Amino acid sequence: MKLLVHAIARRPCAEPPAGLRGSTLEWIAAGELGIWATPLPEGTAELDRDDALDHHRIVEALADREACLPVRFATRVPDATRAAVLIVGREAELSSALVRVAGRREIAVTLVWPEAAVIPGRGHRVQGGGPGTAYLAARQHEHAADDARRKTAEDLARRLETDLAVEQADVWHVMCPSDRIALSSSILARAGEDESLKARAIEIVSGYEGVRAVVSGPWPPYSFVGAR
Amino acid sequence: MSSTLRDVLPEKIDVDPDRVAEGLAQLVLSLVELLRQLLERQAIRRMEGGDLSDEEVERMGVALMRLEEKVGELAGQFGLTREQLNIGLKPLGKLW
Repeated sequence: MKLLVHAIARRPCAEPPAGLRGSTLEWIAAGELGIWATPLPEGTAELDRDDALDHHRIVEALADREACLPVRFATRVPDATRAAVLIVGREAELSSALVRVAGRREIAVTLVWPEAAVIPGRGHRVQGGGPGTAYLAARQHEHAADDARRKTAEDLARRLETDLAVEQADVWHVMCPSDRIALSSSILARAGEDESLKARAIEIVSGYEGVRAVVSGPWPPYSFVGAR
Repeated sequence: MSSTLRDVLPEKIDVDPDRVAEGLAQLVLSLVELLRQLLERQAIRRMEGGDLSDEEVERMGVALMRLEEKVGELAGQFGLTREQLNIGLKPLGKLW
């Protein structure tokens, strides 16, 4: 029997939601904190997309009841003792993260490159020289294009922070996480202000040129679970 | 485990005992790919600086190209994609 870990919290809530695939959620106390997990019987099929969505449902329901730190989907441990290891030695860090995210949700802003701008350097071919020279020249072109894209993403990140007037500690950026995406940002909203922050973000990023913006949320504070 | 060590361990290595070989392969191949990319950047810098003859550029390019193919081939044997070799190192972010 393995345990699929969902979230870390300070205390169990009175009426926890159902666990993965409708099973009962288990609370594993570990010192001053504890872990919510679903026991996975031997022979449980591989986790799939539906399970990922179910994990999200569980985390969201737990976050509605009590401040919690979501754990990355598919984190499995062999037993309760090993689950506690996730916490041991990190109590202070996790407790402070719990205080920080209590009652708060995050808004996700994703800026996508327009189709034509996707990897402008890819596929570049040079004339002359052998295959090795052509390879290096093509990579040189790609690196230059990647560097330019990263610089644009960094400028967009700074602009987003300024335009939204949010504290730096409440923003988490990932620059160019994939070929299609320029910037993936998570913004931690102040308690009760998630919807207004989302509306403001939609309005602001819709004016950004050269990228297409997708704003989603509010979500449980997935991006702010660790100490920064 | 010290907090320093834990802070730099990759976020996405699969520590499931049943899949430890894949997890280890992912870690090792990720580091090899990172080194390959660093070598590639260095070679391009030297090429741009005019430090290399045409012959040296060709030789280095072929070597890096073959190394890239080999890493891809080995990753494929463990069911890993190139994207999966870009593991997350907590304080540093993605490898590339």
